[in-house]
Amino acid sequence: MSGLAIGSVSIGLILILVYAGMYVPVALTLISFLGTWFITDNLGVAQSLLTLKAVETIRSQEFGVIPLFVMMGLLVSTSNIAKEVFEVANHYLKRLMGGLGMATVAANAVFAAITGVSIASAAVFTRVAVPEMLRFGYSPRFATGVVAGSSILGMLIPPSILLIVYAFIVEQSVGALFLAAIVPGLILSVLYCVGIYAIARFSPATVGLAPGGATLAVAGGGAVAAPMPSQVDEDDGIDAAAALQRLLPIFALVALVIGGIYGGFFTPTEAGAVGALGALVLTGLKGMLSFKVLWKVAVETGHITASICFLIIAAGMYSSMLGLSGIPGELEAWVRGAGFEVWALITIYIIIILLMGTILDSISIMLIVVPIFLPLFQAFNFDLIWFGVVTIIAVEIGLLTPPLGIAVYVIKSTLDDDRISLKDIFIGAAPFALMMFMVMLLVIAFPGLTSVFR
Amino acid sequence: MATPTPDRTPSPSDPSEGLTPPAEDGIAPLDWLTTGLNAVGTAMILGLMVLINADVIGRNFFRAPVPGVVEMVEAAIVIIVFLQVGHTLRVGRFTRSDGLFMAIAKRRPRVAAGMDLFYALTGAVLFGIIAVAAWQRFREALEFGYFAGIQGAFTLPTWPVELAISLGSGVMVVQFLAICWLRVNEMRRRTNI
Repeated sequence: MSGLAIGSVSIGLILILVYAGMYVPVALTLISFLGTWFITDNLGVAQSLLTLKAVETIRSQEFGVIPLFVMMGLLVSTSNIAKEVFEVANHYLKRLMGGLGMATVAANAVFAAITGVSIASAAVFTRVAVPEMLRFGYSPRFATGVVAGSSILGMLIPPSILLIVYAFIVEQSVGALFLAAIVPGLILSVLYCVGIYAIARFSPATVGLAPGGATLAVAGGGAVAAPMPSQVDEDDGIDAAAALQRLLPIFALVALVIGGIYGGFFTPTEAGAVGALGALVLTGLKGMLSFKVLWKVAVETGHITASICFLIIAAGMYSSMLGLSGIPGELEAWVRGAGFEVWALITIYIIIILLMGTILDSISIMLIVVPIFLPLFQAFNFDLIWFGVVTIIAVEIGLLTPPLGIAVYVIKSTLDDDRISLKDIFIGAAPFALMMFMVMLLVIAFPGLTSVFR
Repeated sequence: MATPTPDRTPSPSDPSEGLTPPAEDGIAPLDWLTTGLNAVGTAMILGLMVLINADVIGRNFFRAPVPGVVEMVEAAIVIIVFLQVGHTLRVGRFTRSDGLFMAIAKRRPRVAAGMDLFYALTGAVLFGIIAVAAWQRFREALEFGYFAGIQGAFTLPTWPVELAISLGSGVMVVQFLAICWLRVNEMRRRTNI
């Protein structure tokens, strides 16, 4: 049996088992174990591979980055920081058409710079932003779509758990990946705002403006509109001083973490520890921290850390098994023999990820797909950091696509409103998935976008 | 293979249903054990944060780094993960994608129970292999005094790490077997009705 055959059979089996509900680490471990046993015809080798990977994979201080950044994000999520940032953003954007939507994107981008989990962003902003948008007449589809779309910024703008996991799979620097993702993350945020404005222009009803009625035609393109008078006139009690007071601590925290990595003061692990402590102080100063809350956050951190680390351990076993099967070499020979162009290779890779994104969670997709393609990327001399950003965006599109778009499910459950169906949210999120796709193409076409800060 | 039945309306009321199985009756002594280990691991996460910050502050402001931070973080992360994993499985946070599984569970609960029995049994066997091998590594580390770090600068014995791996994997075996037991009971109950 050729390596290619063993590889394809193992991938097929893993997909079947995972989809049938087997624990993902157990499925990966089982197939790696059986595969190694089959390839080497030696049970002992299979056993030692299993043990060695379990014992050695995460034994590195770099893995400390996972619990620390998870805790930082969870701590910030327990405070009302998201709400405060949203209110400030809204204060400055409310005169624009679709301003509330843009404020959601802006606040999410800021929030994303302190948290690394999209799910947390989706839940928080469903509570904070959706009721506001509905109050001012935004259509439920659009309101939830904005939150779904902007929540994925959490995983793109550093710190990001997905970037961390990718870094571990391809053995690249976590810090370099963080810095590489900044510009694409900002571009996506801006594109979202442009998209929201365009949607508001073409269909004012979606953002609570009667077509032609309440909209003021203004010379010079009509960038200024009069939404429901109540929104603009409403005194939100925010002036420059209040805005500064709210934003300054958060920007200080972001500057400390990202600046610390960029300036070479901290390793990513240290930045995580400093960020977690900073988040602790920030929530403490807001009077929202009790020992009970801290403990709850730490327990949650433990659960997330353990499940992510076991995924990484299992992926390590799976990579080793693939290596033993000889599939990387054969695949490379085959790709070269078939005369594949680089762009064709990238296209196939993206299509596979997008297809898997419809049924699997982000981390599992990366763990299954990246180890197969990694040797090919290396053979073609890809910049693995740049390609990591491309991979993350492709994987994240899966959070918004049916039937299993996790972000959409989180919004639906947080919302707890029977009038808004899952289908509505999926439809609302579709334009944002499309914009992500455009940014992904942009990053593929211009790899330099990922090396601005490197 | 990979498309759900079109008529399946994902249960919207609780998305955790689509991500994690609901917590169910556990077995009290085992729950005390996993909760206890979880508490130790949780405390260690907080300790990790304090330790690294002490090092960063000490190094940058007092030119006094905490010795052996790298070795301690290295050991701590492994211990944390293996102490937490049993509880993670217990509360249904061990990663699985159960959209299809839940759909089956709704229509054919016995089939789903049987499938879960198979998954848990597989998990028990695989973690059993790890637990036994890690126990041997623990005995060896203890006997020969293996350590991490550089002699003369800072050294940390490795046996606590090996012990935590063995213990954590052992707890996983027991927790998986507990799930098996619950599933067998469930299947039996459903046959009797």
